[in-house]
Amino acid sequence: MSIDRKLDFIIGEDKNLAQLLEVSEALMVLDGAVRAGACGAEIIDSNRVLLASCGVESPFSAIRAILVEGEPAGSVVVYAMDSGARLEGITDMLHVALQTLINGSMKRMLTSEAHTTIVNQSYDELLETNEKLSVSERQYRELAASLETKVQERSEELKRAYAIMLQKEKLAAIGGLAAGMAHEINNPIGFVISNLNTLTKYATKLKEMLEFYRTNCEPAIPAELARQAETRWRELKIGYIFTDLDSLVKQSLDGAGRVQKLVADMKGFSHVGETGSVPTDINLELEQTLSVLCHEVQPGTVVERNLGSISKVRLNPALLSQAFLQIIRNALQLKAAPLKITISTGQQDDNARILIADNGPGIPPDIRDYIFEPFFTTKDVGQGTGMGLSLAEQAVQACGGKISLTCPPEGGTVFIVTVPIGSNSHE
Amino acid sequence: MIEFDEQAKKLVVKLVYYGPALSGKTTNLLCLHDQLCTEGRGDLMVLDTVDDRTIFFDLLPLFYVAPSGFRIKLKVFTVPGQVRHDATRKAVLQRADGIVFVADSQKKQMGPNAESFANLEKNLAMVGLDIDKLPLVIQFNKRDVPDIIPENEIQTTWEPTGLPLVMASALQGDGVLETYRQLVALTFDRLNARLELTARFGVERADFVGSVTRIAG
Repeated sequence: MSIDRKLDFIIGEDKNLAQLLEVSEALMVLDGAVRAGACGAEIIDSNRVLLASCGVESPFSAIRAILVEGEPAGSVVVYAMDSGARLEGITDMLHVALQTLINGSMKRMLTSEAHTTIVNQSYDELLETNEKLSVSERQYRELAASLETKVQERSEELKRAYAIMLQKEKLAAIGGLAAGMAHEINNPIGFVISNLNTLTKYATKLKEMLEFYRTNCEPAIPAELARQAETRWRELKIGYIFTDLDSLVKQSLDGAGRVQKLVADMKGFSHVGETGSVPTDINLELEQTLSVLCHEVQPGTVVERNLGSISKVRLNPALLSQAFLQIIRNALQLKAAPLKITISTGQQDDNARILIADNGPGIPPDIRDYIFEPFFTTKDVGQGTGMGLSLAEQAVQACGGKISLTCPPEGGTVFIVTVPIGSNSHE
Repeated sequence: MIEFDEQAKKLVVKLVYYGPALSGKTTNLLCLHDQLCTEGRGDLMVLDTVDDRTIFFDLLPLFYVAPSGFRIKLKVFTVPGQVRHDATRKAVLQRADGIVFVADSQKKQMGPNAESFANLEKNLAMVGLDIDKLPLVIQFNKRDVPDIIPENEIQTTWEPTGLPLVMASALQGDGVLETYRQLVALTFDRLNARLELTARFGVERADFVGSVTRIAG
């Protein structure tokens, strides 16, 4: 609202006599002149328009100018039966009275009208100020409200980030521990295997020697002693030992070999000492992950591999194995009998695609959107952290890839990880 | 400007004396009323004054008639200086053609002077007038009282603004006419530039300024 529009009264605006003259008041004064002995009296403005009159005209008259702000604005005329001091006196008195009236009117106009205008204007300004204040108050309120939501969102985000970080640290610590242990186990398992191999050779030699004695020396010793030896042979089940020894050592070597492989896989899986992106064989990462998870595979579970050839992709292998670990572990925990997990890999356009399918109950459509949210779990309290798939998503995204899932109509769930091979591919 | 009527050959101009409370704005007008020739001026109208403080404003009308018959009426106003009468000040400033800022020379009045000048700037902006274009004369009044800011200090402060500066003692009558004359001349120049008063209505600068500033014989 502009101030110009509000001010309809301009202080200093010229007023004409008609505006300043209150006719009823003027008539009283004119009437006074008639009663004092004049025949008549009248007021005319500067354009000779009659504004007020009283009594009648007569041949003799006297005239005085009426001033407004010092300028002639009209005149007062007094009529009498004769000229002279009496007419002049009445005219002077009437003139002074009218002039006083008009000056008073002028003052009233300037003060009360200006005052009213000012009060109205101040009131309008107050209203305007009030309006502005309420608008700004509303804005601040909204801001405060949204601030609360924002703070809430932020703290949620922080909580999530913290949980993820904690989980990552935990994993890193476990990875470090695994790598350390792998290193420590590697040496003893190495000489265990080597010694077992030597032991096999020694045992063979001992067996051969014993056989030699049995076939060649026994006929030459006294019969009693031979009988005792035969009894002792049977008591000690040497025959059985001969047959079992081979399988024992074979089993031990087998076990030790498995330990050695597991340790190597753990070391590879944890990627200790590796940082940043390196050309990575995705299939190898999958194998290592499966190996690390082998103790979690329940008897009867079938893990089918359907690995196609993929170019090496430059990425952080530790992150990708994390993702595989979380997805496969999630599948391994499903209650399906018999559980079957199918892992297929392949290359499509410029992407490496890894499909991890299970024959579990599938994921209800209403919770599919939340599956990658941190803390989201369908497991019983204390069973799951709700972090697994969230971590998997984070890890895949950190590799520049995407993770999604579908539940095919025939049942189960398929997790699809796509990683762009792009210009970073390595043959 | 209050009114410009080409057909009636009439121009009504508004001049305003602005400044802090008790700096001597009304005294300026009283002094002008006393010094100026009665012919060509009306009476000073003092509107509702209490205890030396102007509540509304004062009005001194002056007239000039050019040889062509073109009439110019000057209405000189004061504003109430007290802070609380800001709305009245704004109303009086409306459509002003020229301003005299009456500052109080006393050292202790520097604060009120500055506040009042800031208030003038703000109110001019609010009534849509541009302080950089409006004729403005600065008067440092009360040069006759003790403990005042030295003139050279005032000159140093105000010189960079390029505004005309007048030292005055309104109670003694010093500098009042000079202030008024400077404002009238500046205001005429501005109006002439806009309305071509000389070219179209035969209003000569010297005649006009001389006429409305003529002192009583």
